[in-house]
Amino acid sequence: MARYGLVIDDSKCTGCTACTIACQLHNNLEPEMTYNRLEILETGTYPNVKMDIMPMQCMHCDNAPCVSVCPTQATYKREDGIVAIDYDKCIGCKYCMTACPYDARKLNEERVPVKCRWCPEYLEKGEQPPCAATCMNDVRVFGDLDDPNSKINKILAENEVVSLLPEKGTKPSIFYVKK
Amino acid sequence: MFNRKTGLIIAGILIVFGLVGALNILIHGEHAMGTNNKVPWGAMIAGYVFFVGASAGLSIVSSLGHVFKIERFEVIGKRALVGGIATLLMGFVVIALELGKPFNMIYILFSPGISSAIFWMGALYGTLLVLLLAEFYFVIKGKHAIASTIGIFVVIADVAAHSNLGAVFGNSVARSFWNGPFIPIYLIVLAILLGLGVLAVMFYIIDKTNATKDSLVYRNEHIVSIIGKLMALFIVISFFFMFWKLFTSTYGAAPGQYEAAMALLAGPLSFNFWVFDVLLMMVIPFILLMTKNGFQPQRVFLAGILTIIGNLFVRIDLVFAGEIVEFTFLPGQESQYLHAFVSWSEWGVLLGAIGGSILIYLLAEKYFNLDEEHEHHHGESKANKPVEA
Amino acid sequence: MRQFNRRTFLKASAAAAVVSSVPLYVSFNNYKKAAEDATVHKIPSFCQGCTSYCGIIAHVKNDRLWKIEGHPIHLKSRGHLCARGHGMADYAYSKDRIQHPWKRGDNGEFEKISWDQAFKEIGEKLKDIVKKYSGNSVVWMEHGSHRKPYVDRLFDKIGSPNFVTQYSTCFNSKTNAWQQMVGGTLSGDHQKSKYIIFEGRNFAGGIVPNGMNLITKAKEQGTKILVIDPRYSEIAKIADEWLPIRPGTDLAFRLAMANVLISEGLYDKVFVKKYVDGFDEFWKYNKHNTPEWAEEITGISAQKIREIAREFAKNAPQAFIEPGWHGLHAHYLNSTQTAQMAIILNALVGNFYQRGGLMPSATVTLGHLELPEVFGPEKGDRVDGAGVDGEFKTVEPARGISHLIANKVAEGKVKAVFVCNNNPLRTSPSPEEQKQLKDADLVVSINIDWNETSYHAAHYILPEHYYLERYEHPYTVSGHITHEHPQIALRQPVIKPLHDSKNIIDILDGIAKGMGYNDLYPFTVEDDIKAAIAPLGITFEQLKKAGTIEFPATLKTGFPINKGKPALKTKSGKIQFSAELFKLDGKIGVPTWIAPKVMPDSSKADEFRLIHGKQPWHSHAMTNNNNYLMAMSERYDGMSMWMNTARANKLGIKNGDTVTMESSIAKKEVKVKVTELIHPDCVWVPSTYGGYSPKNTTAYNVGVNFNDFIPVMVEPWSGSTMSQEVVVKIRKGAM
Ligand code: SF4
Ligand code: SF4
Ligand code: SF4
Repeated sequence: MARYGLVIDDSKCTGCTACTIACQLHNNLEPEMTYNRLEILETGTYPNVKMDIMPMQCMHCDNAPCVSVCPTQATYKREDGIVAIDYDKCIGCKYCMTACPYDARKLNEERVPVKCRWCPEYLEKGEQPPCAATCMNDVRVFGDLDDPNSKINKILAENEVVSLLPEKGTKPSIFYVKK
Repeated sequence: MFNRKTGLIIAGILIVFGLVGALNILIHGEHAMGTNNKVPWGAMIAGYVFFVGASAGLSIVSSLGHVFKIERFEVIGKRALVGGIATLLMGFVVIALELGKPFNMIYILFSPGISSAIFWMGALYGTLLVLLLAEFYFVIKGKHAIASTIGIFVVIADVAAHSNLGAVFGNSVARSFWNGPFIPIYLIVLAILLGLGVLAVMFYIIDKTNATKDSLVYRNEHIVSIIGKLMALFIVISFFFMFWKLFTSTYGAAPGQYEAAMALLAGPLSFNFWVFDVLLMMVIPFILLMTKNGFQPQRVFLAGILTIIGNLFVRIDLVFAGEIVEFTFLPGQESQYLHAFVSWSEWGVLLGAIGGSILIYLLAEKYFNLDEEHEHHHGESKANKPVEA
Repeated sequence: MRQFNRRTFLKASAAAAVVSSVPLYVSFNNYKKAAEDATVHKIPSFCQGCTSYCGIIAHVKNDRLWKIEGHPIHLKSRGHLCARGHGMADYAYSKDRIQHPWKRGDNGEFEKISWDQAFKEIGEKLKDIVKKYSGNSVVWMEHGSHRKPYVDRLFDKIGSPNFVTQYSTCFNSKTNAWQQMVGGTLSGDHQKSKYIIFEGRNFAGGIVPNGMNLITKAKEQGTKILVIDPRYSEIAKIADEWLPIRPGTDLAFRLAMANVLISEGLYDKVFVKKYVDGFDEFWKYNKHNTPEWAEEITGISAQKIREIAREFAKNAPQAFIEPGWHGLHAHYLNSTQTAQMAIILNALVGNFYQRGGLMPSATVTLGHLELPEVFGPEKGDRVDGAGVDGEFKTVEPARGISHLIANKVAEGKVKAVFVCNNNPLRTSPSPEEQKQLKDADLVVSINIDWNETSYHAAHYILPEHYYLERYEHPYTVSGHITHEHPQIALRQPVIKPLHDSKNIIDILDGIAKGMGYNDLYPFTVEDDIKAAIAPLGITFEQLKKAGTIEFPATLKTGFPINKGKPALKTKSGKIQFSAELFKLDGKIGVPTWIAPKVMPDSSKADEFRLIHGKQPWHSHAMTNNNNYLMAMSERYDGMSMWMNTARANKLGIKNGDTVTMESSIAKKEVKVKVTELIHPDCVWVPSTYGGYSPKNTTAYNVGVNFNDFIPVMVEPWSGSTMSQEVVVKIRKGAM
């Protein structure tokens, strides 16, 4: 069984938002609904300034609070590490939305919380999901953490990486390259 | 001035508000609510906590009569029980509108998420409703022994359910203002205060309209005055809780908590906080109660109304305070306060639920005998004097 | 209630469930299952989100476009696509598309008409106009020149020289300079370069996805990237250094750089000797343009300019200054000279035809359909004056001066205007002047939506098939990035036409027939495609299946030499530092300092230069009616005007405030983003917004456009709009 992970090198992102819309169309989302987003921050004083752009989406946490708070197991963790939602079991209580420390979830028009799916239809074939594939700067690399030869493991070995909000104990499966 | 007809009219008007609000929510879903993706919970959750809190408060306070055999409180027993059922049912209505897919609740049975506080909430409140209805059935049938036994379980279930409801918030690692044991305990305190407020209002009105006036007076002291004294006590306790929560949150400057506390004290929630949570729920009622003639029924009635309103707001504010500080993910990013509010549809539903509670109560009053049966024992010696505030 | 437009591709059952107006009871899963079950057809084509024309693979389910992916081979995309591409694919389903021919009635309202009626009426009117005023009074305005071979048949017949592209509002200065000095354009070889200067060129805003990919790869291998731009543009984010320059003064910076290269002897003397003509003339006019002189003008220190020039020379020939595109090249009075300087700087370090420097595009030669020749009256001078003696002699006639056409209507010189895949009312300066287009005797808009030109100026609107619904003549893939292998790409229908639209040849044929010319277009696009690929040894079927076909590498390094002599298509065969054509009326052919036409008065707190640029998820105004892309603008505060923090503080303006901005021709309200990421002298607006056609519902009344504020001006050398030569006054508060 594979165990999926995602490395994001946000230093390469130029904020084109292609990842957002590629995902929207692939997943048939309305214009207002997104599964991934950019966090943007400018720092410094003119002319010594810097801009950070960091793509974010569901971290598919190993210790996912959204899974443990779900009253009907509508949100559940798959064996391959993907945190999935069974919309037919969801009661729409939004507990997962309050529980997620990464703002990863949004409510859809049917009043069901949705989020980035890590598109297993791609990962299972060893391919990159649309958000990663469309990115001109190759900011995201998905892969199997259990496969020692995977590209993601190579990147993890060559770079120092961090996860977001480690203090929350969620053990995210997204690793950000520290630059 | 207070008669059945007025009551029904008021209930009717409120219910119309409720129906319009509910319809709007059913049609437009989340768009009709003041919440958003970053502030997912709002007035409906707070309203639910308010109604089940009122129910818990009524049960706990009235159990003082039934369970602990505090005789002077027996007089309020059946009415409090009906009130408890009515508000609980209305709490369910509110939460059902809050839920995107209430019918999927069936999966609470099929695939229970036992690590979820909301799963336990469902289980406990379900049980509670059954217990309350059973108790009511036996009370009406005059089977006081069984009723009292069930009553014990009601109180246990109520405390369990309501503190578990607090844990729904307290469990949240994401929202540091909610995180911890504060909310579970505080909700119980608030529930009792709210229950007292409701009882004060109820019995003041009954006193004005009912012939059974005499039974409301015990050793020259009106039952409403006794409630008033308890209210004063619980105002002090509430204040104590709120003070330390905010003190520790601001003093420690813990990330997330500090900003949330500041949102209440000086930020976007500060108007609500100072006007409703502090003045209306605590300061003014306390002054009303503690000044000369403070425990006169009218005063207590007034204090009760204010504290009820304040109780609704304090829950809204507690819910919002946990969510209103925007998360930040980049080092150096300053957090902002998010925008969230109570929409007119949500107000409608809350008012409607109040109307619904009144309606259920009035119907119960019509179809059942809610007066205390006097053949019951009069063991004055057993009555403990309530703690004076 | 919202619509569920994304979901209309579902089979009826699921669609019916979705239509239910009470979201509470709609099962998300139903729709998902239905969507997943449908077979996916993958059809290659290429994009129309911008002029990069990336290869795409369209995914179609139940005859509805589901999504697109980047074509894995196409050299512009190589599997990647930008946001615009995705968004504009979905735009096929916009409710604001033109669904059938329209005619503006006497009351000004549009009424639905049939194609037959449209052709008949347009043909007759055009015939009258040609008869009365000659073909010279007829103009075809198009974004580019893709339909030109087809349009030419009609224009040859009626004798009109007036095929006008929109490039005078885009990059005219650049292509003109390159044409005059080099005889064609080269592109940067980003991946093999060690030092790249992006000056006034935001590669991450005007995107070639694979180009950006090559740049980020180069960066990972240690290539140094320098960005010189008044605004911290998206490419600045990945740059090693961002140097904000005073807008309008890039020419001074470049002259000073050349000055360092020459005076310090850092330039490639061998290369210059062999392949450059006019070096001495250049030096004669520019000896005095030292870094110290440029520091005053540009705000970049002399020290820094020296540093950059030295590093540039050190890394040469694996170093180049980006030849650029829209940025800088239609903006200032001195844009042509600025473009000339890009050529001169690159030539000075000898990076022409070198890996890591500038390289040509690999290309193949296509075949032609043999068609009966068309005979018509002799054509007169271009009505816009491009290339015309005594008018704009130095302007490339192949591009024309698009933003002058409306004025030519007002002058009575233009009587019939066809506007195809183009929206001059929004993309040309001074909308009020552009609206004069409507006063021509015949105005036909061939556009896919209710853009400003359709709504405000057209007498007839004829819907062309959307790019996803049609065939086009195959394209040889080239531009902006270098590549070893020539490629050709095909645009082919991936969905059936959704509306009563037509192919351009059928539209032209219909109009021609309406005029009584029954055999002007005796062919189809398919015929044309087959003829084009005939010499390549591939079949139409193969091309349809592959979408993009790559041929064996043809690219060679080294300066083009013919019989031992430099063989550029210029007068001397060398790089001409002095452009022959520019020597008109005693002017000189080499660039030297020309100050910008206007300058904000630095002593006035409220004066700014208004500049603009491309947002990465929009193609100027072309994409502003797209729901997805506009939602992105909403999400990231994309409609706001950028203003430097210190300047804003002086005016008491806070982030998110609405201000009133006034130029000589307009006064408008605009929301401000207060930021440290911009030069204090200017304010910056994205080039996207300010839609003013009420029937383009998403774009309508969102934001402002730079064109609202600039009068119609013509840069004398290349004919561009000088769109950043405008000073605005800004004050806090609404109007
Ligand atoms: S597609 Fe890539 S570069 Fe563009 S915003 Fe997404 S991560 Fe950043
Ligand atoms: S990021 Fe949020 S939604 Fe995703 S697994 Fe973690 S807690 Fe759950
Ligand atoms: S993994 Fe799939 S669902 Fe998640 S952001 Fe990427 S494309 Fe969207």
